[in-house]
Amino acid sequence: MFLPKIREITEALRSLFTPAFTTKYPLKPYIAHDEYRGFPKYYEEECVGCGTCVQVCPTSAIEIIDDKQKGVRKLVLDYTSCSQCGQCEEKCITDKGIKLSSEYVLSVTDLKAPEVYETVEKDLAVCEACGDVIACRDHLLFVKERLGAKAYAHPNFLIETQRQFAEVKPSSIKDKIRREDLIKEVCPVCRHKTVVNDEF
Amino acid sequence: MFKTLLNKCFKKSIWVYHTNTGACNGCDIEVINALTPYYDAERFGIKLVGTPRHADALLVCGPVTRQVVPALKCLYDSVPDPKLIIAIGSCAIGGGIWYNTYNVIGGVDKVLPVDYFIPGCPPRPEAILYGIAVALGLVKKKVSPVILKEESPEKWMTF
Ligand code: SF4
Ligand code: SF4
Ligand code: SF4
Repeated sequence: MFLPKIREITEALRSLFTPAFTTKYPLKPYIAHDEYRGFPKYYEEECVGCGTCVQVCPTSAIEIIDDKQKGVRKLVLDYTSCSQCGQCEEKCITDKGIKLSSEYVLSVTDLKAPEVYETVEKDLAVCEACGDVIACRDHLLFVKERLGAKAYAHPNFLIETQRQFAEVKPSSIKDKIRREDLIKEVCPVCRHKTVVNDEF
Repeated sequence: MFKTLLNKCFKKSIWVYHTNTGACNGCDIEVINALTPYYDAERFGIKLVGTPRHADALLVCGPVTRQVVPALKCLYDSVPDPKLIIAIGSCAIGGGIWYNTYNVIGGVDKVLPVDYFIPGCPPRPEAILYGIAVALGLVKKKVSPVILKEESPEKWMTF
């Protein structure tokens, strides 16, 4: 006897009215879940420009460019090299300067396209004697905050603190750095040279 | 005229050949993932083929190791013109985490003229779909039309 194929028919009817399993993706956006490690993003207010993320990055995706003349440090993150490992977020000294976002979509025809770069700019404190880099101003303030009262032992922290409240006049270091210049904003190398070489 | 016709045909369906030039398999799995029923790349006419001679596009995953260079060039030759080269993953773009290893010469663009780069380690299947959809002109953001490259052997001979 021929039995109607009830199971098959119900299945066919059911699948006729259920939506397709396939995602609608390119037509509808898909938002990755919170834990997804997407491309990292800088947060300019929180980043102090220390350069730790540059050092820990396993793919050298972040480049550090110091402009000593203008006193600007640039951190350029290249998304095309980034492997989304999260080392930069984990090792960031402020814990908030760089964070992995949940963004993951990027497609370029040209590796020099501006959308593959993320840049953060920070003011640099440069040595008044030799013009070398000391650290970013925000970094000095961050360290000062952490040190608390002990920070007043070092003139660089003092000068940076002053700079927050008033304009600090550019000092006039002569050709040779002398012992009295130690209270100015000078780099550790110059400090050392002065202590070792300068006679009373 | 012929080029516009080809462009139109290209949009309809694109057959891809997937190749691994030294990847860790992460990107390969994501490419396979994009072809599963959930992501279903075949609804755009994207089809995985078993030989480069049937392919329109080459999906290259992984950093280019020294040993794979001749094979990759041979593969590029076997794909009929016009062809698209799509580099998938950070490794295929600039070497990724193997950027300074002794046996890796760098990204795919050192050997072949790459048309599309899809960064990520590995890129999500959505990102791969998006990249290919952009290449096909299905999605309008950041779109540039499919450029048919004139064959210039000098360009990919220098590495
Ligand atoms: S996520 Fe990893 S690879 Fe990407 S920038 Fe941060 S440290 Fe570098
Ligand atoms: S503060 Fe964090 S994000 Fe900024 S340079 Fe240092 S490690 Fe990188
Ligand atoms: S980009 Fe990442 S997942 Fe893809 S091959 Fe390289 S290391 Fe593996």
